[in-house]
Amino acid sequence: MKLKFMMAAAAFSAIAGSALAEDFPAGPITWVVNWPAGGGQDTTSRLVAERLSDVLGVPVVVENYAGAGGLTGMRELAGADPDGYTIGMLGASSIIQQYTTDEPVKMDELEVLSFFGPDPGALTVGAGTPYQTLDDYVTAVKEAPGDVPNGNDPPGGASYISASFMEALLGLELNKVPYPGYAPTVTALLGGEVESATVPIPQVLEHAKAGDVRILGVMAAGRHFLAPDVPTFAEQGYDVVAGDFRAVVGPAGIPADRAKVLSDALVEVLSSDAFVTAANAAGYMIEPLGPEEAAARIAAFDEQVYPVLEGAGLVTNPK
Amino acid sequence: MSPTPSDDAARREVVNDLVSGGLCLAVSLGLAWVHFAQAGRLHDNFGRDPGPALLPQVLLLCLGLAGLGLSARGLLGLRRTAAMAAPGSVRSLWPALAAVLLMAAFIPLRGLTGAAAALAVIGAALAVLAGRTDTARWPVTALMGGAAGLALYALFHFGLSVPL
Amino acid sequence: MTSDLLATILSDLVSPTLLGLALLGTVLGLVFGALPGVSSTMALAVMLPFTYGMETAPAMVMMLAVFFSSVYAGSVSAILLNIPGTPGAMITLLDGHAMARKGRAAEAMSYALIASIFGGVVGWILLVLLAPTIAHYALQFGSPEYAAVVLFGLALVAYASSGDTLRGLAAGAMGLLVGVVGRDQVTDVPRFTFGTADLQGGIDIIPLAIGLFGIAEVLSLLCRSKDAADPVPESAGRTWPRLRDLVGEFPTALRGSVIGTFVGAIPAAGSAVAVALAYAFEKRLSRTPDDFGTGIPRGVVAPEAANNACVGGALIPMMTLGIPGDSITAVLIGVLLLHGLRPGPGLFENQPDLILTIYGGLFLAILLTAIVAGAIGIPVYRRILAIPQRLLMSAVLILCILGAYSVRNAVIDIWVAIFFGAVGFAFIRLNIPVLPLAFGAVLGPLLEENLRRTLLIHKDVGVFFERPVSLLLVSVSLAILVLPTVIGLLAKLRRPD
Repeated sequence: MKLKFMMAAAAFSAIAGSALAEDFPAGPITWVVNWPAGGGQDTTSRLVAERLSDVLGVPVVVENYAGAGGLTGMRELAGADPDGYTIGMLGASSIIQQYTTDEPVKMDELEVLSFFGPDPGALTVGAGTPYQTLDDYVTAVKEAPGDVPNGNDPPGGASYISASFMEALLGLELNKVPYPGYAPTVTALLGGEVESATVPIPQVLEHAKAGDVRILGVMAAGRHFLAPDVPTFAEQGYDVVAGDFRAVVGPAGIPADRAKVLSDALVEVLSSDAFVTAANAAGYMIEPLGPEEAAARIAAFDEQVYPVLEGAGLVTNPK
Repeated sequence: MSPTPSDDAARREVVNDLVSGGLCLAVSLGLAWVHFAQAGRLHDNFGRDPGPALLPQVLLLCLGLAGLGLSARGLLGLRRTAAMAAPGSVRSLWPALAAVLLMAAFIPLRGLTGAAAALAVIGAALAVLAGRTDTARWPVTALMGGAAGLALYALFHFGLSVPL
Repeated sequence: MTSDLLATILSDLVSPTLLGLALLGTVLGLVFGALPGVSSTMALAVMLPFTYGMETAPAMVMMLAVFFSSVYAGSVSAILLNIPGTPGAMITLLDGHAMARKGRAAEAMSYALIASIFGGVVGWILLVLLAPTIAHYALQFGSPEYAAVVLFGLALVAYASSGDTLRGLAAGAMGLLVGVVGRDQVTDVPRFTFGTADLQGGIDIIPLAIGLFGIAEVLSLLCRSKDAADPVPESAGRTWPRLRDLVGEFPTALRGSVIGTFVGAIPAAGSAVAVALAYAFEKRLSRTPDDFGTGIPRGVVAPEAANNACVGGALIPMMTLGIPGDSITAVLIGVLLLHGLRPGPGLFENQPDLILTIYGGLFLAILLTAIVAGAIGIPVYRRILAIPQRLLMSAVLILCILGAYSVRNAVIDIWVAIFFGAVGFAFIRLNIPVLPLAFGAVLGPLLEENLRRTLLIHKDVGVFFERPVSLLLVSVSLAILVLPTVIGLLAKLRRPD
């Protein structure tokens, strides 16, 4: 009922005063989220969808297709009509799945519309551990290869890949202990079951403020806006850049003019002050990029992650 | 000595043992074949972690043993009990089979006609099936079953915005 | 603190906006929660967009109202139709639906409501008074303890499920095998996916339960002979239980509530573990354990009290640590994040107003659920039974298809529900207990994951006997599993003397 009313209201506002006088979009746009409601992918999608609806003048309806580690939603997206009326959010895990699952959705089945922003990994240790600096940590791990327990996602997940990047680039060997998601990982870190964790900054920020954990470094090119005191890995002499990212995509073959309408609207939303304030308050880094730059970023991640996956023995579907 | 109802009940349990024992054995053997034939990293050595292959093997063994036990008990019971006076017929299960087929028809039908029409048709058919022994006239039942299907479709599609 | 809280509750009650939104949330929760497959998480997610424009306090109050009332309403489809909408309702249907068959459907719903309210209040009191203490203990719960508590739950289910041991073992092994399907949580290796990508995420428990209980029930009704009595009598009997009977259920409700709060406070433990513990515990304590499953109020009160106490319990790690206790609190944290609030250990010092809002909001939600469900909900729900059987059966099967699909909007889940409908039907015909299968599928993955994580961290299983909590739980589990056999053997040995 409510939804119908909202749709009607949005459609009305579209007729009354739309900035876009073209035929596209003429109806509601479906936004596919490949994770369940309530997660990071869902929250960010709903944040964008709400404002995208204002800019395009049509309702943008978020639909969650969870399952198969995000693959169900990607399939729904790649299999949709490339008419511009179905778009969705993609994360680093979808790039990784191309090589680690049996029937993946390949990147050439999708068309990149815009970049949303990075979600860099960070290294956090429990307050009870002896590691005060990144140097301490690296030295300790090198002395006892495979013994320091690090909390992360199951293999293929973003924080697992961050830990693998760290291992590959710094010549370390961790005891990577998988947890189903960020919340259980942080719980294990707080409870002292693992000594370190490679989850993003927003997950550990409040615990660091309370003194329960120490964030030793951010795996990004620059410092994180939420924790400007925490140095990057590079600043401390370790060249590690890793983490998750988000981008908006549609099925391959969307007509060029429609794709342009969508990416322009997305970049407009992502660049607006109101949106950036809201997203930053919720802990998300925003980096609005058009289709070409976004595709280049994704390709760069792809180049970087493949050897790491190969090294970890996770590739079942070689390039 | 003619079989009494309690004898029949005992015999039915024996048949149940035999059927479920056979089922367990078939499932455990079938899945064991799938499990051991799987290529890739399943049977690798994972160091401290006992690996993903261990639990399925333990469970398949348990299921197989339970199946053997049930079959053995059933075979012993066959000798102890007499054949049933009124054996239940497999044919009496047809309404359940029909209902399962109707539900399964939803997925292909949805591709052809859309979810709303599919649910209306299936709702009507299921209502007629369920009311086959009732005194109510079947066209009325079908109509109301179809309407119920449509109403539920509307509830999920519009009320909960489920993309059907 | 207490006076502030009272003031907050009073001001909530007199504010027309807050009261109106809480009322709206309660009604929506009572509607959505009663639909199978529409979990509390989904009801909250549907409401999420409406909270964007609101202030934090009204948004939280409305969401808490949806949360609490939908957890209660999950028992309605379990009692009336034998379809558990949530894993937490899987136990309620054992006695709840049996009561409905005896013509006591409305009474069962009232028992569930009273137990839910009681559980909600106990959970709320423990949340308000002891949140930091409980959170501290919950943090001590590492993988070994978690594995031990799941083992404990499995032992209790094995004990609580009636029927033949061999058949129970077979059903339990099948359930655990169902839990194995999909990508392994520790190594990401696919198991029993039969080469399809659809099964890689595993078999979702809700479609499984919808098939195993709901569809199977209708299938066996379809095959019953013409002259058999109506399965669920139209007359739903008296609505409210006698006071004397209620008082007798008080200790059960209290034990269930305490179990629910503590299990709910352990991040990611979930209400399925809590209800299994509460039910089996009552069965163990009972002098007439064989009555459980035949339709006794105690079998409804124990799981429902535990189920709703979990709400308060799940808020404990959220309020004190900023960690979601389950997927429902994850959505609540999402609401706070969207309003620029980051729950965490600093919440008590930095955001005392927010704490009061949430405590007050949950209390309001409990109060409104009691009033709305008691005055309007149960009278409306009981009319479902007045629908002619032929239409009800058809509608229930359609509802099962839709409910299974809407969990993740995945077609595979419809197949899962139909498949397990057939399996459940076969189990009924073959007289195999269904409960071990369902709980094997819920608890198996948790046990395996935590056991293997324990080995990764602590290197050997000896750790289970070094840590006090896991030692206690493992020994009690072993006692539950082994003692009946030992006692039986001893009795046999003694007899010849």
